[in-house]
Amino acid sequence: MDSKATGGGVRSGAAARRLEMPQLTYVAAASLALVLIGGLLAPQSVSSSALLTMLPFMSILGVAAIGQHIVVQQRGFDISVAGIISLSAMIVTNVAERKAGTSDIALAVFLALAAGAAVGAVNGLIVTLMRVPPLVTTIGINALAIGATVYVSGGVPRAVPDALGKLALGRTLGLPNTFIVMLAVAAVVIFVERRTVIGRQFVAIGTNPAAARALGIRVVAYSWMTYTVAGLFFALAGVLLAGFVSVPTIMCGDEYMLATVAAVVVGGNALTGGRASVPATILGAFFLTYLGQLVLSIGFERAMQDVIKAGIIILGVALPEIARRVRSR
Amino acid sequence: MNVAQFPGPARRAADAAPILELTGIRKSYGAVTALHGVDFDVRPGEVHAIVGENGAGKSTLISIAAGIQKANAGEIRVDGRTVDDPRVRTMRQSGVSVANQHPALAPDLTMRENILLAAPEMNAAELETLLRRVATEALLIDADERIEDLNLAQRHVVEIARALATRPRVVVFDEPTEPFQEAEVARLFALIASLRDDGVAIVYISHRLNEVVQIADRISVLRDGRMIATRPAADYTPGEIVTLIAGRPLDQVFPPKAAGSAAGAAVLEAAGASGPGFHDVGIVLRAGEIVGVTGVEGQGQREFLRSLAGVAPRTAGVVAIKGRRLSADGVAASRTAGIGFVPDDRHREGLFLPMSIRENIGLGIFSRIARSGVIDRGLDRSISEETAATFGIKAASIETPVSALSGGNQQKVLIGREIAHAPAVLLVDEPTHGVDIGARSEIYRQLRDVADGGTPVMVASSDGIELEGLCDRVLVFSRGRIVRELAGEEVSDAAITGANLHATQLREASGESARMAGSRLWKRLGDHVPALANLAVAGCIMAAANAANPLFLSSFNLSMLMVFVCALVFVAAAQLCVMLVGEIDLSLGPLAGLVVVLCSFLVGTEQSAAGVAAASLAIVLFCGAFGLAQGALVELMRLPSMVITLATFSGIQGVSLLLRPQAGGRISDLLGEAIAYPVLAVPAGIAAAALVVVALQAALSRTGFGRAWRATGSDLRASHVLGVRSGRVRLAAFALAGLLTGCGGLVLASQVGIGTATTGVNYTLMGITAAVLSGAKITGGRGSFLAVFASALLVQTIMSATPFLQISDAWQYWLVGAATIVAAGFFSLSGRRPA
Repeated sequence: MDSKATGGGVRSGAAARRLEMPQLTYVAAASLALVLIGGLLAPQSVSSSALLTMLPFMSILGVAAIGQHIVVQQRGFDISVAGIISLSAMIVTNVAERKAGTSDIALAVFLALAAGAAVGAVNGLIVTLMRVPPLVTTIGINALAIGATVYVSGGVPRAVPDALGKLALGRTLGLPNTFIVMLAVAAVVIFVERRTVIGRQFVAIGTNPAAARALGIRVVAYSWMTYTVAGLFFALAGVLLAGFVSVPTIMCGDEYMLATVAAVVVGGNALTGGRASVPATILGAFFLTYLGQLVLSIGFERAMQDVIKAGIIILGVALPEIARRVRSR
Repeated sequence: MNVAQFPGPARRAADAAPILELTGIRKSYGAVTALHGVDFDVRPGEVHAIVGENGAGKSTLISIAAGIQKANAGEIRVDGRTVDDPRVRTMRQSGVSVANQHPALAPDLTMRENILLAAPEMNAAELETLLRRVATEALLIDADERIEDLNLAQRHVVEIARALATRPRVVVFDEPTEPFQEAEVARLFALIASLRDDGVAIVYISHRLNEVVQIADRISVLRDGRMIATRPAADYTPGEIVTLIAGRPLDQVFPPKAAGSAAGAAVLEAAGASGPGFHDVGIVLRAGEIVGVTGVEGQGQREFLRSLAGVAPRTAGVVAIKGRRLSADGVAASRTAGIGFVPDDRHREGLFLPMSIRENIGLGIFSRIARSGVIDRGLDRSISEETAATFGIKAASIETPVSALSGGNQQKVLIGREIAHAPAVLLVDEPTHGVDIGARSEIYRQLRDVADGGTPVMVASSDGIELEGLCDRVLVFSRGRIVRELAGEEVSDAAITGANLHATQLREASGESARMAGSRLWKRLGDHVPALANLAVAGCIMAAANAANPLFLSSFNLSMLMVFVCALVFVAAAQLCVMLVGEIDLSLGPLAGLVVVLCSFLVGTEQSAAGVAAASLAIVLFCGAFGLAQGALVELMRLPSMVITLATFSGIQGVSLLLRPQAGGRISDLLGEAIAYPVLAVPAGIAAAALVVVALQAALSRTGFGRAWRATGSDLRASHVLGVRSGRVRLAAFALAGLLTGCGGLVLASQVGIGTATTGVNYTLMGITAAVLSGAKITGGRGSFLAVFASALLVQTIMSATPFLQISDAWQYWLVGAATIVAAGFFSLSGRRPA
């Protein structure tokens, strides 16, 4: 055969990065453009102090969005992010007293994370074993989690333990601690996806579940684990949020339902599962958080954020489609 | 070899003008060209056969002729006139009809409904006559059976009947005999002969060459997307067609077989192996041989092969590899035991298309490239490069996504992956589906090399020529058992086809009809049954609430309950409209809330009755337009509905909050009075809701639109092939949902009495809960508006009863959430059909 097969010398890592590049470039360019527009409309919004204050919000959204990201990679969709964030925030504020010591706080945080993972595990069980579509499952489970939130809190918001608040507001080497937590979560997810057997199989399932099954990959176990880990990430975001705002409201998780999906979409990731870029999702989180700040600093009401985010999401899913049609013409 | 005599002599049609002409048809999918400018025509009263290997482009050509796919270039002419806009409907109207290889039928609809989708005018008697013309006694079907309850052969009967229902002048049969036995083949040939004698033009596609030679007046050979030859059937010399199909003499396509009886030691031994589709199969695979398994479609050969791979279940029997017993625990166990498996549909079950060659190959060989769960990059790369080189995979690099490769190269990646796994036994289901001739012989040579290396290869194939050229032995399956073994000189296309068709005597026909009769009543009630359960549970909750507090059933509370039920019925019915086409609309709750806010501006206390009516109508129409716009985004832009409606879920709430940051703006009492106005002792609102529900149900179950509605949700691809205008149906579903939600919002507004921004939010969940409780299929295709009425009553009863039962507010969330999950889980599990 005259096959000029498989050129040597192509570095696998480099190529994998090259595959991801256009997507990252688009999101980065969009973010940069937004920051430039922001600089023109509201110069104070691009000062380094303003950006640094924004970083924790972006990081909290980033952690939750990575949870949504992995569910989307498994062709799922998790509405219960709202309920889980609210629930975990209520658990940390209600289990530990304001002046609680380290061990009490550790217990509260552990319980909050465990609750998140448990809710996620239930999602996973219903989706995999009962074969209920993810959307309906997580809408139902979200209601259960909100019920639990109302039950735990008795309907009254309380303050987070001081020590936890201090930790969430603190900085290490000049960077907000919340940001460092997000980087750590992202690093773990990226390493697992790129370099391990689990990661390759995980991506494979999202790409083609039937083929994964034919290779003996335990699709159900992965799917179940995905919802569980996502629940854990949501709960972590809830704990960070509680610590950062110090008196979280009962329904503090509600806005994350849209925002996490938006971050994944703005990141340019396909909602059909399979390969997706974690850095792009994080950039998506940055984009949305900055946009939210900008809308406020221009002088709009908070409700305007929702309207604009809705428009951005629709644009975010529509633009790639429009581009595809233009190209194929 | 005349398994089914083709009746009557072929009439001379050579001088008639062609009805259907295709000229210069080109079709490419991305980089892959499926058809390179193909010419084809068919005349009245002739049978024109198209033969060619799998993937030669036959099905693509036909789907272009049927208007299912659009050609990139070329012309379609009917009666000499160019068809400008070839779509399924226009082609069907001009008399061209196709019986597809894979029946395109909506599984949730009955056979009658499927046929009516194509031929709305047909009455029951005509349908009966048509069916008797197509089906043999054994395959006769009750027209009110749902397609999903039929077996493969029965579905083919329906597909053929559907193709003939429109009285076409050109009928294309694409592999019509695949799942048929001798009797059905004979019936089909008689049918084709009578159609031909009536002057119908017939295009016949089959890989069973002896059938083709029997019935065709002309034969065209298609190879690698080019029309190689078109001649009267008699002008081909024996053996010539085979050579034309393969592109070169067979001994150049296939590698030489194992020398004589050189087969070595037994490697795989199976005894008494049974599972769904196959019974008591015994087989020995020896080192050095390639063994074929075949049979008419659906005789258990594939199931047996797949059970060895662990993909399909095996329930009994012993299988051993090199003396070690193979458990039936699934794929992982089979792979560890040394089985390599190449599935028949590489896109569905074999490859991970967006992933690279390296990643695809690596997925099959972790034992070689990973240490304690971490992948060794060097090994990952070097083994892939080695595999790519041995197989001559043509690609820019091993980082090329598999989706960018040609069919042949994709198949090489798949087979290469399995060979890199170093199996003890290699199982290959359809080794060369959709593979061009060059890659084909290379794949054959690789398989022979594997066998020569001592690893037995088992090949399942429906292609007699392939089995003849490749295999040392061929086992013929029928009704789940091996009925013939062909070896040596007997391994020939003709012998294999003959053995296939003769093998089966009877089909299991009895027993099924008894089951059918017993469940007839149940079937008629069908989708409405959950209504009874919902009403019963609602009754229990009312009784419990009333026991806790007798005020619950007071007339005041009841009338309050009824009004809220009324609002929810509208929203839940709206959700069902969308769910029927397989989508979900999350924005319905906030949209109902927006109606309340709009009412606080437009339906103020100062309005006259006429003003209230006009404003209400305008608001409802606005909601319909909003639904339509959302539908347009989903349908025309092909965007995922859950993302779009999640965005509008937040967006509409934002708009409501911007309009009414604080509660304000009194809403006219006239609205409430109109809704409470007694009609036959029932509030007008409830009466209207009931009327709307009954009308929707009638439309859904009785009209052509209703059939199209359910077909669209049941199987979008099939409904496209059936000629349903699915796009319009889906738009209509979203618009209807908007209108209904507008009505629900008006009812809410009359109750709230003042503009508040957050009134409707909970109705998204409650609406979905009610729709799910009603037993509607979440993935689309089935549902009952009557049952939605009952489930809306149940959900609202739960919401209203919790305060009376003196339990925490948390219970409202818990009960509704749990009801959703339990109902969705229950219907999902009970709807699952035994494999």
